Amino acid sequence: MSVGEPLDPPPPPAEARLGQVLQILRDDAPQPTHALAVRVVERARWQGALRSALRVVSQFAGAASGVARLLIGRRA
Amino acid sequence: MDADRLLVDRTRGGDLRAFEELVDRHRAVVYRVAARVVGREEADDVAQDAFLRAFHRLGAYRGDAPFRAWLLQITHNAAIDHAVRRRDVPDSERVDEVAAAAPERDAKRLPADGLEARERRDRLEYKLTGLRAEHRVVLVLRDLEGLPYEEIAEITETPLGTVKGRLHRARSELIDLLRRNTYDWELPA
Repeated sequence: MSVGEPLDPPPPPAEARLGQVLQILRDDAPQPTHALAVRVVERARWQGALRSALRVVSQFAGAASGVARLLIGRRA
Repeated sequence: MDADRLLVDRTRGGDLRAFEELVDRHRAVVYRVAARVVGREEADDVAQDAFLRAFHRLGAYRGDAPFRAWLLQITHNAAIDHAVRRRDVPDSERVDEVAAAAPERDAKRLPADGLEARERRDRLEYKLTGLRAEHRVVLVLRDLEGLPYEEIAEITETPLGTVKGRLHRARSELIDLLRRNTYDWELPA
């Protein structure tokens, strides 16, 4: 429940009990390791580098294709 | 400008240390939500996938919603994609299977209090997997993470009324699943 939010009507008894049962999960929440952050950043680094490289290759291919079209056009 | 927004701007400028800080600030909630939707064993993969999707889409983040809601929207989609890929049987068809199942841990009777508490937690987490993914997500975000309805609507990209309807159905389904369990959860009629 967040502050300022209108209150929900009181839940039926079974739902109220379910809320208590779910406290078990709230009290024992799964925790990530710091290794997760390290892995994510490492992958972001090489994926970012790969994207940049692919962008350069694609720009080069685009330029080469433009030159080829120009040369073919001159011959014709 | 809030701290997240500053970190997003720095990351867009190529500063990976800023992205690392963003990951560090939000890894706990992303991991918890992933773990509750796909299970602890696969939470790491889903959390990693969510952060990398976010990294590549940072250019699309406009900043009109809090960064956490935007990131959890991506986490929600990554978790649902993962859940769909993982099993051929739709979650809705697993409700009876989970209700009837006697997983190995259900059969165990562990004497120590700590182990019993862990067994209860495991049983409950297992029952949670019997809910349809879209119901499970709403229950996790509201009843475990305590997020406001409006933020859940944003994360799941559904109208507010749908969120409330799914939450009601999720609670009813979970109560039903727990009642059909051999363990007595003391749920009144």
